[in-house]
Amino acid sequence: MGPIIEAQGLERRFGDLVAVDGVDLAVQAGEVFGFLGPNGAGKSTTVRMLTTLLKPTAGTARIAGYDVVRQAGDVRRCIGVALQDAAIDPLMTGSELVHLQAVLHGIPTRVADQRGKELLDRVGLTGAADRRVGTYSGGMRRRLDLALSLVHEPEVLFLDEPTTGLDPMSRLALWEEVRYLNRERGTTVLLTTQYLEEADQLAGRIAIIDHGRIVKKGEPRALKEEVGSPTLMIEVEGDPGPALERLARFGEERPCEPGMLAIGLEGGAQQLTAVVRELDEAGVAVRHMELNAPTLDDVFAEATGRRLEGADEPAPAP
Amino acid sequence: MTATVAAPPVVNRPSPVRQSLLLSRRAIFAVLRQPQVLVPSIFFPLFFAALNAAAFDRITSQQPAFAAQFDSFLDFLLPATVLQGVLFGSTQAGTEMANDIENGFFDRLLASPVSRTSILVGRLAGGAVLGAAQALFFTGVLVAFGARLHGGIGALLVLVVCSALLGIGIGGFGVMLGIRTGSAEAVQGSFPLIFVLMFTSSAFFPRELMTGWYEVVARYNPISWILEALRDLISIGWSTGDAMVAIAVSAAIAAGSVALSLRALRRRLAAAG
Amino acid sequence: MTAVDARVDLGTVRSGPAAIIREMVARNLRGIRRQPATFVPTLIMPVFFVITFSGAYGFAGRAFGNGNAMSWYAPMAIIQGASFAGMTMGLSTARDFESGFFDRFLLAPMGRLTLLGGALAAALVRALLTTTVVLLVAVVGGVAIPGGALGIATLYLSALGIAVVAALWALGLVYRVQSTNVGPLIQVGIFMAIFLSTAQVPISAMSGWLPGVARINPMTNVLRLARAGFVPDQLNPPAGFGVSWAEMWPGLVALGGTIALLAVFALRGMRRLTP
Repeated sequence: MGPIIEAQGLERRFGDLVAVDGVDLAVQAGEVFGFLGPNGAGKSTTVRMLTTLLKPTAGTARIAGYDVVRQAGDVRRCIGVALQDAAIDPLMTGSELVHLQAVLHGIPTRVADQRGKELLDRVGLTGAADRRVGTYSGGMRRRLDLALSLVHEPEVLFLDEPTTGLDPMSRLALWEEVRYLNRERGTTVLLTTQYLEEADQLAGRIAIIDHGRIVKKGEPRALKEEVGSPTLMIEVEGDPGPALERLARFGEERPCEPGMLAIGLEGGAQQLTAVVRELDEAGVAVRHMELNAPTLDDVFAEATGRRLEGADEPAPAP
Repeated sequence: MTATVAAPPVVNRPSPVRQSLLLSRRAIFAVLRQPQVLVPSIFFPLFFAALNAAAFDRITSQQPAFAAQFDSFLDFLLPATVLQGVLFGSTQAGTEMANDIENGFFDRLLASPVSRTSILVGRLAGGAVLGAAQALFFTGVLVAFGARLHGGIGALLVLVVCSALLGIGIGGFGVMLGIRTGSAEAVQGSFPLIFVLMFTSSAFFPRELMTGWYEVVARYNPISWILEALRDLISIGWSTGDAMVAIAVSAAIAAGSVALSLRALRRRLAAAG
Repeated sequence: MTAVDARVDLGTVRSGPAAIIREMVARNLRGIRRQPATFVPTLIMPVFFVITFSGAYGFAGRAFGNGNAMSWYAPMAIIQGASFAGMTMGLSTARDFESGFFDRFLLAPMGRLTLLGGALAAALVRALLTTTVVLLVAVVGGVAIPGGALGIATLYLSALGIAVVAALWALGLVYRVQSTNVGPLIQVGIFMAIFLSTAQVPISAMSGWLPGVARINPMTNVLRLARAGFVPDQLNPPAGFGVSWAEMWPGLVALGGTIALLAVFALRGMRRLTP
């Protein structure tokens, strides 16, 4: 059987701006696939094209074998979508919203009621079901959005930045739910995220996207191994420039925050004493030093020359 | 290494007049930038003037009470057309005030050395300037289409002054609502009230031809007093009495509304501590 | 979150467009109930119109065919209210676009006609509300309805037709622009269509350029249809009262034609939304 999500040369222009520049994808049924990239990289635009909300200006895409442009109706039957700005009507209650979603997807009214209750229970919103959605917290809205996307038991689930803006507890809960769906129901999940940890934790394979192009594709573990050497980050007193020159023989420079220096330490941890000695001889005072195994941030940095912003910190709770 | 801290630069505090001017300019441009306001405040008044002149001319001129005073329905409509434009244009001041509060600009103004009254003056002055401009513009257009100002330049001046004052009056009411509620929607919800006020006056209908309770209601509506005085100036000729009535009532409305806005502003500042 | 495994069998029966349309109308009405400010002002205007114009132009009653200015203006106010019903439906859709909620409709596997049908059904229900309210006000205000029940029926028919016309116009614009910025343009179109006709006075009373415009405006015939039960035959005096086919068919044709044209306008706008 072919891939359940397939895209070739997917492109989207807005006037002169090329938001998505030739994306190829092949996601197999039952995978959890992560789209990782900074804000504005083209993740949401790609998802909108794959979910029939936006017409590609070039290229093709198929979901479960159906063409997203010519067989849009069939595609919509197979997919569930939870978009970045949870599309909710603040005047409606949770139950009303689930009921509406069910009816929109062709579920008969009586069944829709039962299904709604079940889903709300699943995401822990039974108590809030009769309150207006406008009163829900950010975490509750995301949970509701997830429930809504599952109403018709889709084979493929698209999650666009599902935990952006959530507190850590809600984030973990959502990860657990995604794993459950994938494990027990075999739902294919394509999620976009700007958080390394999320991609690392959830995705079996990822694609790193920057400025509308996929710059790296593969399993997280394999990609990190490709980078190879761990990153040594040093904060020194004064200008890091001279220190960087001194350490040039230990490895290549890597991008980092201004005022600090980072290199890929090719010899690994064994080289640490040599590094310290070198810096000592140069009379450089070290304020802080850390050695980290390669992360997806390094993968991103190697591919694009920049660090992914807001990398490992969870976003503050709303 | 010792660091020397330089003395903070002395801030040149602009005079309240200059502050007001700057804020007025901002208010005026905010309105001009929004087509949502231009349509009801420019297109509709002209559209209805043209339409109603063609629609009601015959019926009204057949009534001796009307024909005695007015050459045409267009003459009758001139001040009402200006009023319509001013009314719909000035509600924007309140919406903008509410928006400023919502998006925090208001708080920034408060934190700056801008004097409190300048904030208000700025907002309202914008409404006054626009009102005066609309008076000139609409008069120009309608005269081009055959309306006549029997009261000459004097009548025009009174019309311009009244429009400016009403711009302040209606704008002030909206601004007061904007300050008290901080919500643009609440301000726009007040629009029906203004609508009711206009339509229960003799602004659009000759009171000479009204009957029954409707005529009574219109008789006691201050908008009627202003409009009828203005119409006399336009269609009969200059009369100091009429001029004074029109300006006095408009000024009273403006003064009342400014007082209410100031009070609302003071309350809000007191609440903010 | 608990991962309860009890599953409801979704079955193979799919519900049809009727259920979706019903649900969309229900949501729309709920919206009005919970946030009346978006609907009530547009109810106030027609009520006001019928009261003030009847009061102000009562003296011209004879000009309006039967000495009762209220009978002339009430149907017009109702038509106005129905057009506002269509317009507010368009604006509520615009707000759905702005909030992103419309994506839910676009992601549903339903035909685009169903989506449009839901919006039109909601507009019709709103128009029923406004028509009934204004009619009640007119009745209290002493309106004469010589055409009886049939006259009221043609009135409702014309109101519902105008609601669809206005809704199609508004939606056609909203589908293309997808924001509430298009509100003034919707208003201008509706006001011009309604007022450049026999809305305020009969053609015999008009002067200048207006009679020509009013004659070719389909709205004039729709108003004939609406007023059929209220005012004597408007074009062929001194025919008597009563709703006659001659008074009705031009309006029906006008409605049918306008609806057909605007339906194309709206559907083309929808097609641009998504694949």
